[in-house]
Amino acid sequence: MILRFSTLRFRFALWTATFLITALIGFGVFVYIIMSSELSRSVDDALQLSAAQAIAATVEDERLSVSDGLPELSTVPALRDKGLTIRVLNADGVTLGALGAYRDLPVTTGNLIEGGEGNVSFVTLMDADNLNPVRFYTAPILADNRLLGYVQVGQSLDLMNDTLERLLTALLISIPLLVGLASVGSYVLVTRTLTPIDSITRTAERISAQDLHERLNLPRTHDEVGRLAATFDTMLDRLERSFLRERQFTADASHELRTPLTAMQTIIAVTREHRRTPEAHEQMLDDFNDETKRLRQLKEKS
Amino acid sequence: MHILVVEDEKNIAHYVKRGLEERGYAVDIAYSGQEALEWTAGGTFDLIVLDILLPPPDGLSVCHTLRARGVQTPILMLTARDTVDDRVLGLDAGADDYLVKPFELKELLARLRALTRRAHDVPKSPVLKAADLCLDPRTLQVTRAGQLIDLTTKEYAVLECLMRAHGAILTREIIADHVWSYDVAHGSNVIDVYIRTLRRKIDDPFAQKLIHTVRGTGYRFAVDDDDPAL
Repeated sequence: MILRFSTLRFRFALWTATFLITALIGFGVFVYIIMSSELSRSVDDALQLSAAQAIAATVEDERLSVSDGLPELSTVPALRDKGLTIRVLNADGVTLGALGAYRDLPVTTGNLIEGGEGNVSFVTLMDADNLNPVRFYTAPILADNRLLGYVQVGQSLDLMNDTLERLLTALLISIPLLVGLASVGSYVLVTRTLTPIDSITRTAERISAQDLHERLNLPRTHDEVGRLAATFDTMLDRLERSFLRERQFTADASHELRTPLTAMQTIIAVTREHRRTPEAHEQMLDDFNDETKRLRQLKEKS
Repeated sequence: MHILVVEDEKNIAHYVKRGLEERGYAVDIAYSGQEALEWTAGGTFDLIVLDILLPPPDGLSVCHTLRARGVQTPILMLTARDTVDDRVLGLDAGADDYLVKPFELKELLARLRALTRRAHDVPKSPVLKAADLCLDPRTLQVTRAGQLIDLTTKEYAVLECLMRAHGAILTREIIADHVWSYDVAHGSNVIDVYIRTLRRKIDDPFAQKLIHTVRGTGYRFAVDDDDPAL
């Protein structure tokens, strides 16, 4: 009995699974990284755009004016619902005006300095509950190379993280499913392909010297297995013919050997039965010699 | 016991014949299937030893023909082929036994004795017995009342023939047919000569007579004197 785990079909399914797991995990990691960086960039782009709008709305005659401009800035309430936060600070970092879910988030000097003169900076902070990350963009408000203040735009990363999480879940479910399906599929396919080979094996096991007329008689196909089966059958034909020739030859040789042997045995047995005259012994030796001659001729014939 | 040996190998045929004759059998040889059919058509044989590979017709055909003719003589088949199929074929052709070459002479003799036991309607004991007379075909020894009786081969053969036909009347021709082969010339009074010497050795020293003369017909071997047929 063949161990199940050593069969070709099992190993093939195992190879398929291993290959697919490696390929799909690589693919998943690649997709995840691309997706994550694309999403981050689009969040950053949106923040920058919002900041530019905010700057345009707050700068008036080269001074900051937040009293009426800021609320109108976010004309899209949907953005606010999703956590868009805008703050306008003066050059010293004092909040002049703010709106949005995270407007009360403490503004560390750190992220002000990071977004220092002439620079733009992105920073990711945790919200008040320390649960959700918030992305902040700090841009300086400049007029004639004079720093008027800063605009900070913040956006919750929940949406992006949700998207990435869904992608991860989809990958974690679909990869094992695909691998399982492919393994079972390849096992079934290989089993079907190898069925004729099993039949060849069983036939070969049944065949013995007495029973060489057994044939596979599989349907003739021109694939690899079909050619193997056909070759196997032709080989059996040749084997059977040569075996029959051999057996015929052995039977003939055996018959030709037995006759002189019988004569010799009988000559000796009969002669020994009684006391014989020297002439009778002489006759017996002559007759015996005739039979040895026949044996010698047999040997020369073969 | 008169045996026909059908064998085309001269040495085998001659030595088997000699070996059998020295054991008291009468032996004739046929060298081909045709000769075998001619011999059996004309003569009486107690046993036939038949080789399969013969100048035509072969032994199997001869066997078939003989059985088709109604010949009941036991046939021992000889052959150099020893597969099961060959043996089955031989036995199914009507042979009673089968011996594969090369064979030992003593096995051939034992099988012939067994065939004789089977053919005759006598007890299957290997020893023939009548009153206190014993005849052992295995050793060719004859004793009466425990006393060993020295017989020549031919005397032994005549006695065996009489004992096997126990109770029946045998003509001189029947006895001659069983004791002498057809290649030996003999007068009809030679039987009387052998009977006389047999009587001297077996019957004369004892009160109970076993060999009886049936006037004008032949001889009869029996333990009781008063035969209802007389």
